[in-house]
Amino acid sequence: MKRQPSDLDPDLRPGDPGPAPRGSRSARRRRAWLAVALAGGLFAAACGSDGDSGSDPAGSSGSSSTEAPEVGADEVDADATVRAAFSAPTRTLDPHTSDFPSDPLYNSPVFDRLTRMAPDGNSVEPMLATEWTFVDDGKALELKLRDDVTFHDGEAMDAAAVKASIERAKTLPGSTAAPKLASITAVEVVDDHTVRLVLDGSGGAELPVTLTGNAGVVMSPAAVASGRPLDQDPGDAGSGPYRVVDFKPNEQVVYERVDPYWDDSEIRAKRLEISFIADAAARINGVRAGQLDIAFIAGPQVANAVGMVDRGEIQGLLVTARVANTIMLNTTRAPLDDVDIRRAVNFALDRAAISEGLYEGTCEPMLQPYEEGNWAHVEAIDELYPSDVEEARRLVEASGVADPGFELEVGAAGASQPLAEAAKEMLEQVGISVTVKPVPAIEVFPRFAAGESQAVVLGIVPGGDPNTIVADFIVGGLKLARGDDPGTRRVAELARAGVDPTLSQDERAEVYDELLTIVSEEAWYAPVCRAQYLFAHSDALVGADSGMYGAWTGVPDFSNLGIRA
Amino acid sequence: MILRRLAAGVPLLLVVTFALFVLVDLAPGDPARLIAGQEATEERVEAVRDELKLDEPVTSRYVSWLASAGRGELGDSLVARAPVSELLVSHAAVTISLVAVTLAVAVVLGFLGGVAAAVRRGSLVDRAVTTMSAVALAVPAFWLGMILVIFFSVNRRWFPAIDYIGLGEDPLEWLRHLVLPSLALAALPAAEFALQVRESLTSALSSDYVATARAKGLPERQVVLKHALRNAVVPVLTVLGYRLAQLIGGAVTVESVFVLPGLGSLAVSSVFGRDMPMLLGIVAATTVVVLVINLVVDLVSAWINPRLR
Repeated sequence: MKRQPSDLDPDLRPGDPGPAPRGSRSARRRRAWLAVALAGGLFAAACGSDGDSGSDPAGSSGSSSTEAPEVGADEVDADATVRAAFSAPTRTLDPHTSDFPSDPLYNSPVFDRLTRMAPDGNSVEPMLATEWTFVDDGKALELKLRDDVTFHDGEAMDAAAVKASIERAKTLPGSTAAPKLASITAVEVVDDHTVRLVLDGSGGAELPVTLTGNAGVVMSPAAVASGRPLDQDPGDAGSGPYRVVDFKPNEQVVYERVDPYWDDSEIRAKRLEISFIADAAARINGVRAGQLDIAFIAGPQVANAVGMVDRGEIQGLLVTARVANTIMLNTTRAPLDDVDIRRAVNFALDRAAISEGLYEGTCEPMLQPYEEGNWAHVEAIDELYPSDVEEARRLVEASGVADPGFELEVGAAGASQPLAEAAKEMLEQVGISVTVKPVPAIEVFPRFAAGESQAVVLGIVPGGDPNTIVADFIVGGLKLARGDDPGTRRVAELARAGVDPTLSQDERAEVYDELLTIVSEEAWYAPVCRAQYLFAHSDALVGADSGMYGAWTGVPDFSNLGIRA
Repeated sequence: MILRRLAAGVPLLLVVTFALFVLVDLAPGDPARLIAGQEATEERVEAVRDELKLDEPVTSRYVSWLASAGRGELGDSLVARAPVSELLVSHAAVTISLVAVTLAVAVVLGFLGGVAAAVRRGSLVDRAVTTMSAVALAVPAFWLGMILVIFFSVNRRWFPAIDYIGLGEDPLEWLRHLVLPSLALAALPAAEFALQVRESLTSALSSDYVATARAKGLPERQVVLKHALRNAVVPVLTVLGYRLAQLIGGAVTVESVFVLPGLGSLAVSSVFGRDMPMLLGIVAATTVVVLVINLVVDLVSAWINPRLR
């Protein structure tokens, strides 16, 4: 099974200066090759698949991720337009008020962030900040900034701009970035190119990762000072590789390249068009008919598109995303307040059968949120719940629960509904009756968080730092930790300890090792499989490889794509 | 008579829009959360609820919308964040283009097929027309659309698989982009027209006045086109009017298959986004259009056949 090549730097600590300013795409590709070598036969086997379309679609279709030939800048058409299609629209281009997880796709071409995740999602790379260090015993995060960046309006990107942007993110009405910056109490300008984020002492180790998202966007101070809304027209507020020339909310965003751009090592097209096309079949047809250069494919259509890649009809980059299809269990509602029932749920699920039966193998069976190769991966958890119907039955009997049935809520008509139905069948085989209850997709999360549902199916994005899953799903957000038992209390302690900025990454890994082990052993959730996405693309497209930023989340950055001359 | 017919449409418009209001209100889920977005804070969700007065009873919200609509103010789309009237105009242009080309294709194919089948009744041509019509009646437009895309866009690249170009931008590309969607959408009405023309024309051709015309020595072409077809066309016009109203509804699926930014696509995204102002605008506009179409069909039928006046 193919995996994302990992170029994790295991020695990088949150308190350490970041790596040197990243190199060109070629350099990153060389790192990817190194990681491929480290990954050993696993990846080699995938890449070596030749014409065996049925045995390993991931490997056979993932050729573009590592086998794509190097393309020099002179081989890319400088006047070309890249036409991309995605499955979700956007309503706002203001990153601070972005209200859907896919919004970064649309605002990343315009707005640079202080940091960004490496293409594999395992480490943080410099972007506008060249390095970052926790100072004053972890009470502040100091960032050194690039000195060669200007905004589209001509203003210099400096410490004052960072201060203005973070203050805007924290105070703008409707800001979705504000909660992520809650631990920052003040922003101090040290000098023109050094800024200090003063922390409230509650944590902050996750900030370098947080600043890769909308919370780390830096805007022109003039645009911030003007107070004008940026949601429909960001104008010249960004410093990114493109500026918006046309925005039709819910339909399409058209961008035009900005020259010069501080990072001239990246491939860029003259124009970039990102369209929302709801129907996956239409997106694939668009690529096949030559009307689109790249299209994002998810869900049941992935297996179909992989077949087309195998037959040579289209090119494709298959990505095992860090998006976990998971059944969340409410530990305060009977019968799921009984740990034996929750463990029985985990043993009863035949994850491999679900992956094969529902997704034709394009959903990788999993038992924990972080994949092998990530620093928060816990090896022991992978052995915890093999498919074992007998053990599940034994646990149900041992629990003594008379009627071990529950309602499983799922987004109506969404991709998770077949998974819920499959889980129902498997659980009923071990004596747990399940009623699948479709609810509006956007209601699934808040209903569970409010304790109104017994169990839900969610596709969760554990993020680039384990604090994300802790803050969004375990202790905060969805609130899986809701009991009053020693395990819950310990998880709360560990959650606080995990964001201590004075800890090294290895020390943090130990904290999250214990935390995630408790969550798994107490069976607060039942992870099922990790989604695979396909980026279907044309022969002429350049840049849709493992270096495509954000591919690991399924929400990529299309800024660095081009068309072969 | 025209004013009376238009006035009779007002209660229908009220019933349709109120029914929509109630249906959307009864749908499960919290519209405030849906509109605020997945990542919105609770404060933002509550602000949206207050802004849209979602805590007020459905009747008072409806009366408030009605008062605004009466002044010609349809409000702003909650999803696209633009005036509903502007969005209606821009998206209606696409749907009107699609329906107009579809109707032209359906009328031409239907009349040609129907006339050919009627004048050679029982022949191979007749059997081919009736068989193809039966198949076309059974095939859903979206399925036919997908098949057309595979043959003519993916395999041949003769016509685009997706997207739309405005008539004003490039008339030739406008037509190229509408060929496949209009063929997919036209199959059913063309089949209906063909069968209707065949039946009406066959009946007319066996009538006394046609026998008289033939006895007078008129050429067969003149008998068919001038005498028989003129009377045969009236029932076809009724079908055409009825079908035109249905085409607007049928455009929803075809617009999705071919990614045309028309009223159908707008309606679908508005339903998923619980965009009430936009939905009301679309429903009110399409109701008015259907009322007007029915009126026009009646007037044209009466003009062609004075006995209907």
